[in-house]
Amino acid sequence: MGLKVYNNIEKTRNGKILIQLKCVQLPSSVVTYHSTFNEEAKYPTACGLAILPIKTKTQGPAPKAETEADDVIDEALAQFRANIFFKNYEVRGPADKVIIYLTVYIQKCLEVIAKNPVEAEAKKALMALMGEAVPSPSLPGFFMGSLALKGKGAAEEEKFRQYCKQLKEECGARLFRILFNPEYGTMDLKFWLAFSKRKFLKLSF
Amino acid sequence: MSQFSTVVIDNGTGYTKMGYAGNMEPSYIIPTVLADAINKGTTKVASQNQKFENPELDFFIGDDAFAHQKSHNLQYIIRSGQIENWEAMEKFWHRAIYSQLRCEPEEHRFILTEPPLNTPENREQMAEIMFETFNVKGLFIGVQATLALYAQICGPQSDVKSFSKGDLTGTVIDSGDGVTHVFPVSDGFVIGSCVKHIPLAGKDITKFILQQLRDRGEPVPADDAMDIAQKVKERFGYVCKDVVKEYKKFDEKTLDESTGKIVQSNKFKKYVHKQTMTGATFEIDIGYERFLGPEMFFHPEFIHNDWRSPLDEIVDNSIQSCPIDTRRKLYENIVLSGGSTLFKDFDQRLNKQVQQRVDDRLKQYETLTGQAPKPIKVNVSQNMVQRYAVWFGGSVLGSQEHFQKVCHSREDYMERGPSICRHNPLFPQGF
Repeated sequence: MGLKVYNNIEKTRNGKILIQLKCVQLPSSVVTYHSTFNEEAKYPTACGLAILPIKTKTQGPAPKAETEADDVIDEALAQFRANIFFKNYEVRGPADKVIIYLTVYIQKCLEVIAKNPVEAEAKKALMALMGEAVPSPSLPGFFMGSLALKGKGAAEEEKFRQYCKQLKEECGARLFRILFNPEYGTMDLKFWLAFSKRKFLKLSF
Repeated sequence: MSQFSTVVIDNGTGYTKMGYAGNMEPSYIIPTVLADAINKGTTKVASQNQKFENPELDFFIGDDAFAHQKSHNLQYIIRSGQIENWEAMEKFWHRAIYSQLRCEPEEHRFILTEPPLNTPENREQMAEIMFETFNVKGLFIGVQATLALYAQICGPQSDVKSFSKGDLTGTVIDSGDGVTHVFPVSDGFVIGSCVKHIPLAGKDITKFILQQLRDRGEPVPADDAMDIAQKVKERFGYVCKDVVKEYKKFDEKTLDESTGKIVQSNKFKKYVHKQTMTGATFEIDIGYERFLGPEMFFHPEFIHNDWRSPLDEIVDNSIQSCPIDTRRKLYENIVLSGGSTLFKDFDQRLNKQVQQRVDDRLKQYETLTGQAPKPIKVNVSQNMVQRYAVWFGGSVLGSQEHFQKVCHSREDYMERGPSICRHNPLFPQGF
């Protein structure tokens, strides 16, 4: 729903211009959550997803983040429990596509952990999920469908795959630390697992 | 001056509030249900548990109706504010007046309430039942939204000594168990074409909370499930400022000084429930549903599959469709009524969101025309009688001196018939 304005411009007899505003329609006032990295066009993209810096020790095409500020994985984790309820998601930029990817991945992790919520089993299952190969975005059946653009060549697709693998590893590790925390244990576990049954926008790996 | 006070009965879709005018709260709040005998009119099979000799009187209302729902037909008499079954309504009133209130209707004047956009024929029907069956001394049928505004102006919190018809201008947001309405009222009359309905209300929040508890695997017994969810909603529910920030607050861990352990945020609560059937007690953890449930007013897609517009948008659209000279006053006097508006900080959140929309619109006007209109200050007011604001409005009206002049009397009805009740002015001529 964009901004719509209807105007009636008339000229009266003595030359004054009368503008009669008919209607101003405002955009929707529902609060939605998006990535803050959308505005900056300085990040390179691979198949439509922005290659954003993340705070990680894993190897891959993503640059190492310099500051301690929230990176895109922190954003996805923080917004997950809100975004999972939405029926539509407006993509405001390539960083939002990363958020969508991460959100579906987090939901898949929770689903897998929910089957066996014991720490050792959960760790094994998460490692298996991380190791799964990322499918090529140009093949039909890739869950992001029209959101992921076809790569301009095998090199871009390879970069996309490696970036996704990096995201999965880092995101999975941070999620594991939230659910099975070394300091305070599994306090938050059941509250997160409640979301394992919902699908984000009906998408699934 | 009669020493018998006026009886005020507010029949709502979920609950009926009854009491005497002049009181601060209704004396009885019972669900608007009737449990009727299953075999009426046919030959009655002799049963050992025959309590009533007259099968016509074998019915229960309110909480008794729920207790007898296995042996009787349970029916909800009012749907979406409109009376569906007049026979059932008459029985309900009968039991209410004689068993609960225990008053002689011949000695009292009655105030009943009706939803806005109610047909005049319905009012005549109400008048017929009241005057013919119960022989009441006087009857006044008030519109629910107007009575809620009346409570706002003349209520105990206001210091208005004298007021005019013009003060009865405002937007009433009435959110009960079944459906939420937005009624713009101008000079005491509801602007019928601008009334908006939202299919979300208390019952939806209760169902959502129950679903969340079940998803998390909390031990909720099947027979008490809705009851537990309702208590959780009423006791722990509140409206947050922002969903993601609220989640962060729930994630904060603090170090407990005495034990040296890290504990969860104190926003997580525990609810102890005693099962009615077995008497066993058990504890349930309450988490995010505290603020996610009431959030549905501002994010309807969390709960509803089709409805997408949040409450502030509906209120804004409703006021914008009203005549332009009333809009400022409608924004500046938004009144909340009904049980589902009782959540903590509901008024602040709604105020912020509607004010945002109003400011955006005024800014647009300014850029397009170059003239800055006077800023509108949105005011959403909460008052302490919100849960039964309509009943309270009736109570205030019934204890006013001029009420006798506006109430339709029995003598009038006998002389002119039920058509006198088509019009119920709040103020007499020349007030």
